[in-house]
Amino acid sequence: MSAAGTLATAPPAPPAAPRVHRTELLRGAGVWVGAVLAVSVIVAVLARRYFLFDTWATTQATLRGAGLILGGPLALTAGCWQGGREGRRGTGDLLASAARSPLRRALTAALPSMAWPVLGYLAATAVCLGVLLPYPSYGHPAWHLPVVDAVALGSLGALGFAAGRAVPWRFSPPLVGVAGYVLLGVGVSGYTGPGTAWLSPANKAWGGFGDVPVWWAGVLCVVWTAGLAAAALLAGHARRRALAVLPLLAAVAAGSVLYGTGDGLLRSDSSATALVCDRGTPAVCVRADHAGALPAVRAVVTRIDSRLAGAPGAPVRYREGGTGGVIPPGEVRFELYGGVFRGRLGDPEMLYRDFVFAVTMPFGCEGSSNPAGYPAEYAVQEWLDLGRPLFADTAAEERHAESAARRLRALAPAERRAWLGRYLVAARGCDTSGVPAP
Amino acid sequence: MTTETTVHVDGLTVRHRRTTALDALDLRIGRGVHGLLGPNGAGKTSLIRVLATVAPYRSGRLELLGVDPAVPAGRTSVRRRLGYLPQEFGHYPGFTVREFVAYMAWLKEVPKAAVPEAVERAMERVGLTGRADARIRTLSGGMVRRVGIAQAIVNDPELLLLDEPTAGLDPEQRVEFRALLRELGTTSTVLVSTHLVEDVATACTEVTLLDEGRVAFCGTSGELAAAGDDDAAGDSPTERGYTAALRRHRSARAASPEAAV
Repeated sequence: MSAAGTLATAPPAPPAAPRVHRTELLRGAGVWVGAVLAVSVIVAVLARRYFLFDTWATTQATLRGAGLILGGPLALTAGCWQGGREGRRGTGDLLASAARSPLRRALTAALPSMAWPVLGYLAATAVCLGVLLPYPSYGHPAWHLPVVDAVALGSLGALGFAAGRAVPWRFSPPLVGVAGYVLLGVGVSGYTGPGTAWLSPANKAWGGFGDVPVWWAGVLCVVWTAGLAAAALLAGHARRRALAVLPLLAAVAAGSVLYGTGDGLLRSDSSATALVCDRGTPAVCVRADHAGALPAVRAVVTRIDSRLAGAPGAPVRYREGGTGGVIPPGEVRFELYGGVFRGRLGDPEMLYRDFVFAVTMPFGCEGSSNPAGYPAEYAVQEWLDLGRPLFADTAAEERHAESAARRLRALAPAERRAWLGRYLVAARGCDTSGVPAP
Repeated sequence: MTTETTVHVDGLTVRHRRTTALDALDLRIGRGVHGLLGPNGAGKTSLIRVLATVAPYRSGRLELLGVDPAVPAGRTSVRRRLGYLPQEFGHYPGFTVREFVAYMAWLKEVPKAAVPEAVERAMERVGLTGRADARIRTLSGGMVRRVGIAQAIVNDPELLLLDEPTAGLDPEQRVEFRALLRELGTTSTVLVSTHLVEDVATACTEVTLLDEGRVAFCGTSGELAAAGDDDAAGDSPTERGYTAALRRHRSARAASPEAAV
């Protein structure tokens, strides 16, 4: 027989057998779960980019919040559905007769529940960080945070899978998903104490408000979530189920520290909260992580300062932060609640209103309102061009206030400056009763 | 003709709550195709599930392929050498035929290098090579049953347990399946639970007839056919033998409840 004949008759090699892990990953709802999670997170994050992403801390806090609040329940639901597969498909007997250990079988079956939420989240993270890369003006990405979040999502998928295996009921997946949403929401609701919030992987205290978590907080969260998932899988499927105690103990220990320490896991980011001031008059100071917004804040200050026209008692310093402390005379403190985006204020009108209220009703004067002083207060706010001056209780008061405002506008500049000065000084003392309306 | 005993059952009792599914059953099965017959509730599926190591038993002794499956290491060893098609064949509709059979090969711990050839051979033996890449959800009921048989034989089992394997197969497929059974029986112990007496008559070397958890008859298919008489109901010698053996067993039990055949 010739060589060619030998080759022609040689049996072809059998096709490579499909790999079971690849099969599990590709044959099921896992791919769609990953895709839905990725798209949801991308849409949720990028829809908000004009308001929040002044720093990398807020950027990543938003990303992880969306990832866990949207992705966590999805991972739980999908995992629970996958966990109930053997019950739905009636493969229990077939699998029970297999030599492969129950734990290996369970881990393989749970693979899509753990992997796709992680892959979807990491893909969303890559897209969001790539799109947002030019925008944050302060800080740098914390690369360990996506890892912490990914472990949490994978763990939630595994927990869902364990729940589905334990209770293979058709309504288990939606119920587990809703329960997960509620529990994860505890971390962002603010209705519970900081200790409980830290047990939620979606805890929003992870950055963006002048505090940063200590480096080992991430380790604790990983041990907490992964430990629970490992314990659930081992308890359900290991031949030596007592082994589940080890990860459970680790999870309980980490959870105890998270719960007990609470916001003590945060340390002040002094470089972010340090003040940066310009050289103008009145002085304007913002936090270092908002330094890019200093010109925008200055523009708002200039607007109100031009209306006050150098009146005695007009603020001499505008400072971001510290609104809860003792405020020196002549200083206005504010927060940039509207956010900052590439040096622009998210809501300059809101900041202007804050300034007007700070001038006419300084912090600390709440509860000492003077009903008789309503026309004067109205006139000042109207003069300061407040979009929505105070509302009167009666029509007569309204007419009175409007006439006071007209008279203030009609005063000569020097007279108006003098009257405003008297009013501002009185307002600083929380008692404007001695300054009748013009 | 059987050779060495591969299934050794002594006094096996299985209870489902208050019902006795198997009542102190004794059984020896060796290489070859062994038919398991009996009316509904006779204990066929209970016996198959115990032999497949998926169901517990209350008392008795069991030895499969020379190993005690009550010991974990022995159970794993038996499972590697076992093929099992449950009565209700659960499967994953989204998998292709090849993927599912390969998955089962992995579950049975077929050596990795041997899996591709084992998968192709199993599919070829049940005539599914042409549909290897079809999703199972697209297959007919008979084809799904053949997938079940393919997964059962993918590890070339020394002990093959088939519970109602011909359900859903058309006549041509059943003829082919019997030929496959005979082929498998030359190297393995094959236990086939069925309601179809003609399958037993044509494919099985030995037959065990169960009734109410006890052995009503045990012998060759020829002996079963010969056990029939003219009074027995049935359209074929084997069917007449089946009904006659059942009738005699029940009469004997009624006369002497303690007497097991």
